[in-house]
Amino acid sequence: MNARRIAGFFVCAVALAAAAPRMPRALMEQLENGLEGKFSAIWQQNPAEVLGVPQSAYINGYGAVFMTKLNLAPAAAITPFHPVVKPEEVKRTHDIKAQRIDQLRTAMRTMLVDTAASLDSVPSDEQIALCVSLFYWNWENHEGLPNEIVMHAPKKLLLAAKTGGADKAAITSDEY
Amino acid sequence: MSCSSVDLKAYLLGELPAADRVPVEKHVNSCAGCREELERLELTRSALASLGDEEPPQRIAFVSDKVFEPRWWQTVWQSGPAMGFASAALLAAAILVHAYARPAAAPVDTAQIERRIQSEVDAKLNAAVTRAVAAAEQHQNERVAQAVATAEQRFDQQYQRDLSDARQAVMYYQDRMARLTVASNNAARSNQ
Repeated sequence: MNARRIAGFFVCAVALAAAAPRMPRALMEQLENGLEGKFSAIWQQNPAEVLGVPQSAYINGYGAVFMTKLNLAPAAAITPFHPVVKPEEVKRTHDIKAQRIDQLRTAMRTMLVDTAASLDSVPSDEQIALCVSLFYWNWENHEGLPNEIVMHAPKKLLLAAKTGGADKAAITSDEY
Repeated sequence: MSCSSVDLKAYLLGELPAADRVPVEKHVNSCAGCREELERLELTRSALASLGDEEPPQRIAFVSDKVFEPRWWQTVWQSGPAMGFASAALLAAAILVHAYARPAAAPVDTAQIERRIQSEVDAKLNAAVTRAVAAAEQHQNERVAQAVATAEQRFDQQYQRDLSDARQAVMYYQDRMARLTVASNNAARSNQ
């Protein structure tokens, strides 16, 4: 009888352990803050601006997803004190963003690889995804620039890339 | 007694003696012709009695007297050529009189005509100006309405753009504020 009770408790404990979230929230928040710092540190001069708080979620069976909104080149908003944006400013902002977009892609791949190494709880065949929404003022010319970049890859691929066993170019990248 | 022996005139004038009157009366009563003759005589006498007394002319003239010689105008009247000449002269005189005595044309009141023409011109000019002004006002009103509509549309578009810019700026600063808040919380948590 006692042996049955002990076995029952063991089964329940295993079931509860399996039902518990694989990703601790504290770890996710730590990674979110790390992403914010990494994005801000890409460019020392006129750094990119992370807007809002990076968000993350773990989707059971899919993997971990990180999202943030980024302004690649901060510029002045239209205000009563700055009612008109000159064409030179529009062009300068567009040129800076076009120049930085490739550097952003490279940085996002590096971040994915680094983040994957921190996500021990995520199974290796699940995905690690990073989504960056790019911010544009209404007055901006964002011709040739994406609104959103989504990169994702299986954790094992990212870990392999970390050790040099795979190319970062294998990371799937979608732009919208 | 026969009709020829009866003196009806003497009987009528009362010139017969009374003895002679009786046989005349008997004959007249028996003779219709004499009775009718007597009635005619009686009628004549009554007519003569009604006439007034006339004075006999005191001067008696003869046909050969100068009094009966025709006057000059009678001579002319009775002369064909003279009458023709007189008629022609009269006609010529009438023509001359008509020519010179023709009533003068009524003086033309040019001032009144000018005033009338001026008033008509003014009336037409006023009507034309009124029509032109009305048309111009209508055209101007249409242009103003169109301009107002265009301005309103432009203003509305600008308002929508401004609203969108303002909304975007608010969201932008809200994002920055959220980030700062989280950073502040994290700093406070690490200090504890």
